[in-house]
Amino acid sequence: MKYLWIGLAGAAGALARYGLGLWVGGRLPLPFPLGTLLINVTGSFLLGLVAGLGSDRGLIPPAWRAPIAVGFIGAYTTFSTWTVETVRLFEAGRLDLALGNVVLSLALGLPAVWLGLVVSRRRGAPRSRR
Amino acid sequence: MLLFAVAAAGFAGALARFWLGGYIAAKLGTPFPWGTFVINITGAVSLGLLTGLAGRGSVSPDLRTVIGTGFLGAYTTFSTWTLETVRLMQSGSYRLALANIGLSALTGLLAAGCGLALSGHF
Repeated sequence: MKYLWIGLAGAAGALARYGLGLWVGGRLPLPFPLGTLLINVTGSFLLGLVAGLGSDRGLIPPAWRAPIAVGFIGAYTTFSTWTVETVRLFEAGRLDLALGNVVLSLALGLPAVWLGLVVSRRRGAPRSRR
Repeated sequence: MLLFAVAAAGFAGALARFWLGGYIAAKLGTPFPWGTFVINITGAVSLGLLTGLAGRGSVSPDLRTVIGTGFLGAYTTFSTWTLETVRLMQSGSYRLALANIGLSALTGLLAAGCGLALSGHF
């Protein structure tokens, strides 16, 4: 059963990424892969939040944690597309955009996880142990 | 139909990551997140290869979307990588955190580039 829920959540995450990527690409047809950046940064924030609420505070039932974190958010964000888009920019001679894509993704993605963890400590029910 | 195929591929990609990540973590048991590293690097070289083949017309745009966006996009993960890095920092393992960022980014970019270059030999 666990596998079914992780798989279904992964399917939803992949569709959300596909849809949002197409939408951002259609709205802002830039040479810079803004869609993947937006997806990876929002996903990092969400995973920090879910990790904080789930394993740190126990506010998410254990059976839901893997489907949400591993299934949905893991499938929503992507490493492979990020690297291929960066190499494509490099190949196209846009060294500035390639470097910008690497630096921005990390400079926003890491603080986003941290912010998610911080927010998880401040919202909702009080800690079980004080 | 394409949406259904992307969803089915995402289903398989997420499960492949869950299984392989768990397998590697159980085998190695190290504090360094090798599971996510192996997943992301193998996914990057595969997507490079697929993207190169699609660019040459050897793979149809729909198949590229299903395998690339659906399966490989869901198989690899950015959020787990950043979370595991922040967790390493929180536990005071700054060297491992830095190594996880540098090693994954450099190897991942090289892997994607190798995949793209390899696609010319098929």
